[in-house]
Amino acid sequence: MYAVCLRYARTPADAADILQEGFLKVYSKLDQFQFQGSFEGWIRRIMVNTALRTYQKQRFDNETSGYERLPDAPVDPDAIASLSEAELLQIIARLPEGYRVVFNLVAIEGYSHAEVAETLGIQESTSRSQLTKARRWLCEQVEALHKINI
Amino acid sequence: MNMESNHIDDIFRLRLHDTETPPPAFVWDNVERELKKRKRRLFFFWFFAIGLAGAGLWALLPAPSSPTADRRIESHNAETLKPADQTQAANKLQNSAETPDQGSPTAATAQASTKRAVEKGIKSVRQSMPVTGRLTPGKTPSAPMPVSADPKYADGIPNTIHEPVPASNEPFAMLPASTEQTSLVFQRGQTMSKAKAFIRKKKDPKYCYNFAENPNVWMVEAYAGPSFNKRSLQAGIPAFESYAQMRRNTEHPDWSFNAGVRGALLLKRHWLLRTGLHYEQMTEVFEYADPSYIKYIVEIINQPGEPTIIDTVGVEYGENYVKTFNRYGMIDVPLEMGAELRSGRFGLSLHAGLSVNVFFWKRGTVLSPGNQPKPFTPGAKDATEIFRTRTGLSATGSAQMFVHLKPTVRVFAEPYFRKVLKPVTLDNQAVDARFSNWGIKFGMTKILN
Repeated sequence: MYAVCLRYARTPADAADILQEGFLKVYSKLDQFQFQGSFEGWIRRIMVNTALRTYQKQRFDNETSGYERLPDAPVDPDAIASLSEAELLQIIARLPEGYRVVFNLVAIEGYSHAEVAETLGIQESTSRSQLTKARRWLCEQVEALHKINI
Repeated sequence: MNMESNHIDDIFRLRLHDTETPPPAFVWDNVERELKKRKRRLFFFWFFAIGLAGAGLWALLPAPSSPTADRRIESHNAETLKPADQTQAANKLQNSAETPDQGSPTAATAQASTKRAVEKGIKSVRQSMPVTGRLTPGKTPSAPMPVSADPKYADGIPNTIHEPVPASNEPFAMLPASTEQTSLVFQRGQTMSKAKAFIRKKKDPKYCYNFAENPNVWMVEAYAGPSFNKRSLQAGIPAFESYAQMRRNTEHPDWSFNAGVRGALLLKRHWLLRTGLHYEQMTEVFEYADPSYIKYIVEIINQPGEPTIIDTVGVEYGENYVKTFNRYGMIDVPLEMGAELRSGRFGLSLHAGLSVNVFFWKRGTVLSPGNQPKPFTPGAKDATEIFRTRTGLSATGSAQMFVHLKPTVRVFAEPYFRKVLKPVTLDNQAVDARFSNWGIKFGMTKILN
């Protein structure tokens, strides 16, 4: 679960806070678990919701739309393969706040844009836009890191 | 081979979805400690809630009939009923109590008999009244006086008395003046139960101070209690917002306490002026963890005539974990005004005012703008100066609920709020810290006059 928190948090210290808060919620709401579906999935959902609430207020405040009209950039798969999980987590952690949340929810957790829009209280178009920007940003970062490693 | 960017989603999902990273060890300690703390809070919450509910019930439930009033009633009967009537009334009362069925002929007979006895007794009282009352001696009211059908009131006192009885009437003259005879002056249509409640609420000289006699009194109060500090951190300019956020993430408020002594002057029975010394100690937990901490161990070789050599002799990788309890203590002189309302032994007073800080001490650690823990304890090694010497003015407000244990001794509970008006940090700081506190004072008041 710490890895889930790391993906949403800005810093490892924030991730530790989210993990702590999330587990406190798990303990306090244990009686609400319906034994339908996986327990791990239930905990994961609590962690994600805790992380979202932590950053909800300031997430989209300072986002710009610089990549709106840029096409999706290609990336060399070897570039990603050469990076460790820790490095991938670090790249995600460096994503701007809004990009990171939407990318985590859509690309990794598998939420639809409609669900993201409802969860975050934003427009679906905003969610799509943030995802596009996140992908573009990640491509650049992965390529750059790959070049450095080479 | 290049791939489309949405394939990045798949790659990231495959690589990261089920990745597990061990969390820092302190997280589990924190979770355990926080759970214990929550259990403790829950215990205190229920403890206070049950205590408050108990106190409320005790205050609201009808008190047992006042011994003073009972004595008056007994004296009244003894004076007004002839021995034969008393015996008859007692017998009838016993009968009616044994046969609660008011519709039965026996009960009706008993009631009628009791009524006659009571009316006779009252009539004799009225005939013995002086002319100063509203009744003329020897003249009975034209309307009959209803008598309670309830056996517990059939002891010679009607539950409704149509005429007010002057306080100076002879049968009551034997009562001492301090027992507030007005409590027995029942108004038209007032039932016995209401009258009893009226008696209960009257000031009992055993507990209540006579403010009517001494409207201006000095009081001394001492108190202590738990409090909770609420601290806000605001970046001076938007560029420091991320630093402010890091500070918020690393500093968390913890339980605090307050204590103090003060003098109060009660003016014209209801208005209050208070001042004294108030101490507030606030606690915060500073917690910082850097899981990718690297420590370089260097050796500095400084030989005369040769350039200084800095040689790295070792590198340590690990987690840098710092936890301190930051403490802030403030002594203030409050200047407050208020108003006090009393009902019997109980009372409520509301206060508001300002307090002037005379002493501010601090000890602890904060995150520096360079993202490193730095002590701010004055005099500590590498200490950074971020707080003012004094916190200045604070606005205060409180509501005190008190109960008299003796005429000159009260105990009280006083929820309060206080806000330091200016930031407690120096003007040159990137982040302004503002303090506010709320809590409760439990204490005792001694009335000096």
